[in-house]
Amino acid sequence: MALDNRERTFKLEMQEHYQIVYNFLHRMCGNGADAADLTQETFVRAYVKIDQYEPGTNARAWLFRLAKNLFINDYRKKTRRGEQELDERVAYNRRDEAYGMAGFADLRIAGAMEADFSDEIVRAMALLKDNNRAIIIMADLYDFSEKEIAKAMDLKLNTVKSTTRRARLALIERLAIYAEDTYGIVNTRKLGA
Amino acid sequence: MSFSNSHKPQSRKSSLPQIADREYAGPTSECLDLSVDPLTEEIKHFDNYRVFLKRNLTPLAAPLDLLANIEARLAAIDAEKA
Repeated sequence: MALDNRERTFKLEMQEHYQIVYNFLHRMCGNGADAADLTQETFVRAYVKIDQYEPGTNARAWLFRLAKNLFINDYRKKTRRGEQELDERVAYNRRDEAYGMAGFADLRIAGAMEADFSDEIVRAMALLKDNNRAIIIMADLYDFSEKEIAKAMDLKLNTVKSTTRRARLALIERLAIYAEDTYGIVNTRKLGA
Repeated sequence: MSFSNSHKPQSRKSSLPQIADREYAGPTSECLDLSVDPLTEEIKHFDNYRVFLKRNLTPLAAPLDLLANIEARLAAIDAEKA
């Protein structure tokens, strides 16, 4: 049976992005089960609203927009109503503060680029504002253009650059605060000096 | 504090970190500089920053049944309309 236009557009342009949408949502909410649920909801919403999508434009940015809105408007509202929150923000707050991290001191010595700091970055990311975290993921993990970010985040193009810059600075600052809190690393140099 | 060693750009690979109290036992290649230009507020070594993020936030495997579950949800929508 021939596919109708909606099915064809969906299968040709949307479906292939399910893994990256899942990854985005996993990084946003911090756990796989909720990310899988949100990914399903994103694609259901995309399927229902496919008439609002112009075929051949930018399916990935459109899906991220749906995913981001679902996360902020639905998932965050649920968690704020007191339902059990299992994301990394909570995990961070519950963690043992004496946790033996490998050492942020290593960041400035040879080999730091190859060392594994994934846990530390995830924790720092979890402390960012949702919009900042979303922008970091799109811009720096998935190489979204500023135009794509504008579309996904409902921002004007001329505000994307400054917002992205602030998001990156916030992440670096979080990493610095974390290192200082965890290790008592004292360094008189200020960020950006 | 920062992770910057930007005040010693001429000897970034050979200089010892101010805060390190031991020799690093891992690979001895490139160190990380996340310093920010105070005038432009841009990350000075942006490529390094992005490589650092991508290496540490590698893709997560989606559940094996995720696509099948999505397709089942869509089939249910179609069935409702039919």
